[in-house]
Amino acid sequence: MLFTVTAFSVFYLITALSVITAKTNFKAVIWYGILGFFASVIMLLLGAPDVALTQFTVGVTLVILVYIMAIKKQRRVRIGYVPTPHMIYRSNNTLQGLEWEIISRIQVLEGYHVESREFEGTSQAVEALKSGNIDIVCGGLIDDNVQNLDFFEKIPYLETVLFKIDDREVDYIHLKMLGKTMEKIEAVPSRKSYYIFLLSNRADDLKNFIISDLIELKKTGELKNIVERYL
Amino acid sequence: MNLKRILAISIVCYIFVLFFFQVDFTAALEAQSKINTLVEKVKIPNTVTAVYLRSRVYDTLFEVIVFSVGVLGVTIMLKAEPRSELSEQTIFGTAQVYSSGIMAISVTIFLYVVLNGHISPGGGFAGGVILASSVVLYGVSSSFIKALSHYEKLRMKILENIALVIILSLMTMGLSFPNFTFGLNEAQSYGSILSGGVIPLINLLIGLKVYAGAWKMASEFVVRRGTL
Repeated sequence: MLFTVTAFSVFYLITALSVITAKTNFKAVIWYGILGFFASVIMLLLGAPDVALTQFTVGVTLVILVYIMAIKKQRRVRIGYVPTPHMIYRSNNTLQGLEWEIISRIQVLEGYHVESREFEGTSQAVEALKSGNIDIVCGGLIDDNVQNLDFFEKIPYLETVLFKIDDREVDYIHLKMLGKTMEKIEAVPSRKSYYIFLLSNRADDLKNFIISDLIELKKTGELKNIVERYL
Repeated sequence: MNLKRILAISIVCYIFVLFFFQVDFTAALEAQSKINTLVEKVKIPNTVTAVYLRSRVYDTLFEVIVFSVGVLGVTIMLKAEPRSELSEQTIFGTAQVYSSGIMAISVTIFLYVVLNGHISPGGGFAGGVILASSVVLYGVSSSFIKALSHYEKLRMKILENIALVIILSLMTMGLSFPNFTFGLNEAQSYGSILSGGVIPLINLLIGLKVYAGAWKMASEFVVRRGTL
């Protein structure tokens, strides 16, 4: 008896620690269900079958169902994109490109449900971001091209070099596009900059998740693989 | 893992071990006579039910009221949000068959747990939640529109309020007249369902009340914010 209770208590402790160390909210909820199961078994062993029954029905079934419904709804991320070759573009009805690849990695890591919306220009996308219709804007945006405004935040994800052609500055992607149309370009590397995501100020947890996931992607070298594949 | 997390985990482990050695696993023998008196007085085998529906019915009364207020709060809070359109869900054939089966079984379990609450482990709260969670499961896995319609069809709104009124009146009767049993358990043998007097009836009503409240909360949540 003592041994069984001890064993289940240790399981209980392990699952409790798993709840707080779980990577995603969904996993934490599943661990919470297992925790409720062990709690009800301990109650049963200690001679409280009534409480065990209630714990089993409430803690393992009902609460988990409600939590899963809530998480599923909260995990909706709306992306506004400006179609840009190599970065994010639609082909055969699916989105492709470097930025989309990064976003879908984050989607897998955090269990988000991503909805995308196409915009013609950056200004329209930023306007939608301001009115709260979308959460993220992407599409080959560079740090220097976007003014700092108070309703969004810039998240740099990739370093790039700006090139000087005659009297204007272009980034690597646009240089590549120009290279297809023009015969010869005299491009001189001028200075360093960053490709960025624009993120609504209202989505605080989303920002934290994206930053930590980008660090993780950089650490595992996956970001490098993606970049090499597309650029 | 950073230092803060390691520190938190070690503190949790320390408190766990500390608490664990405080637990006394040997049953207390002095309380036996008290339990015997209670069983003789109430004449039902499950002493837990005897406590919470007879000698400490006051606690249960306010527990029911707290639950009702909780449901009321959730409903009022969600009323502010706009209703979202319930579209047809993507359903897997097997899940639909199984969830209907589970639904049927859980109605039986609900009745068993509630009516046997004073004989075996169980009671109104557990029974109500069993039914509510199975209906939510049915709604999530089969058809939420179908699950919603039964609330109107069975007039659960009226039934819930009637249940609350009857619970309150029965409990206050029990508080005012401690020997109030409806005379149901006089001729019954120890351990039969009717030997509990009004206790099975109160359990059934609490079960209905808890079921209606829990389902109302979950369905409001889905109706306002959309299904899975």
